[in-house]
Amino acid sequence: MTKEQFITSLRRELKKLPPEEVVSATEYYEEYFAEALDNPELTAEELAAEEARLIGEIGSPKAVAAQIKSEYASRVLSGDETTLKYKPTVGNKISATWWIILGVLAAPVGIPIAIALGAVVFSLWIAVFAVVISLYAGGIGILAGGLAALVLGIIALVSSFSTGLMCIGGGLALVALAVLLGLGLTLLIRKMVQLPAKLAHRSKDKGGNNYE
Amino acid sequence: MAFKIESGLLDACALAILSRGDTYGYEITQEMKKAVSLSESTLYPVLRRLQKENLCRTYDQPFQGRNRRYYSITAEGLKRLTELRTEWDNYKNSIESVLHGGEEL
Repeated sequence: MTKEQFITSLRRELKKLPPEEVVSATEYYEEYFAEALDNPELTAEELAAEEARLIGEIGSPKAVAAQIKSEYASRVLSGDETTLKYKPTVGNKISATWWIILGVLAAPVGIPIAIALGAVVFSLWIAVFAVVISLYAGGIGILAGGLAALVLGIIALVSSFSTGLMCIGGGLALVALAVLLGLGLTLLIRKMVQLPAKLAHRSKDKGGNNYE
Repeated sequence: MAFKIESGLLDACALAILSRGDTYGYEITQEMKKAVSLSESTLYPVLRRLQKENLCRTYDQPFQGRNRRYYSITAEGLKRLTELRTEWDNYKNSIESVLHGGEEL
């Protein structure tokens, strides 16, 4: 085997390593041969013999490659190697890191969107609350009308019994309607006020479950 | 030789040689062979590891129309060498205390 053949088969044995490793190793041995055989006093024949002796001493390309590969493997396993090939997967770590990076990068867009969503939810809540309040006001109006009709009906009893009786009946019906409306609305408002608190409470419970 | 030279010792010897001045692979091998029986192929992985651990770095210099890759010890390498020397002294002393048990050291 000549030194060229040695280098060629060393390269072939190392072909699964990253190109950088292959180049580094083959360059090292090319240089090594050049240094070891750099003796101008030797004849061509003596140089050839020296080359053969040297290759015998270095060992087979397979054995040399095995040493290089095992050194590379231990470097990869100890985590010093950052080359992509053969790198053990650390999926969770990487994805966690990526999520954080994504979060940071998305912040300029994400924060305004979150604010806008919050504003929409808040304004919806305000709108529903306003509708309820107006219904309340309507209820108070009905109550006032009913009471007025009741009073007017009692007064009218003196002049016209039937008209007074009708007014009293209508008034009582309106008061009853107002009371029903008021009770229903009060229940609805209580629910509405409790809803955000309940939601917050439930999410807190969920959060608590995660730590169990 | 009855005793095997381990990778820690190889690191220490290579770093010690480099601490005396920049040199190249063939020279380092010849230097090491003066002290220990060493295959010509043992040193490359050692140098590669030292380089990757940032204990030495390489630079290329043209020599007679070809390239010589010089190895140069780093500050980190010198620190490691000091640590390895201390470790070696401790190791050597404890081995000797067994081998020459009872004798005055």
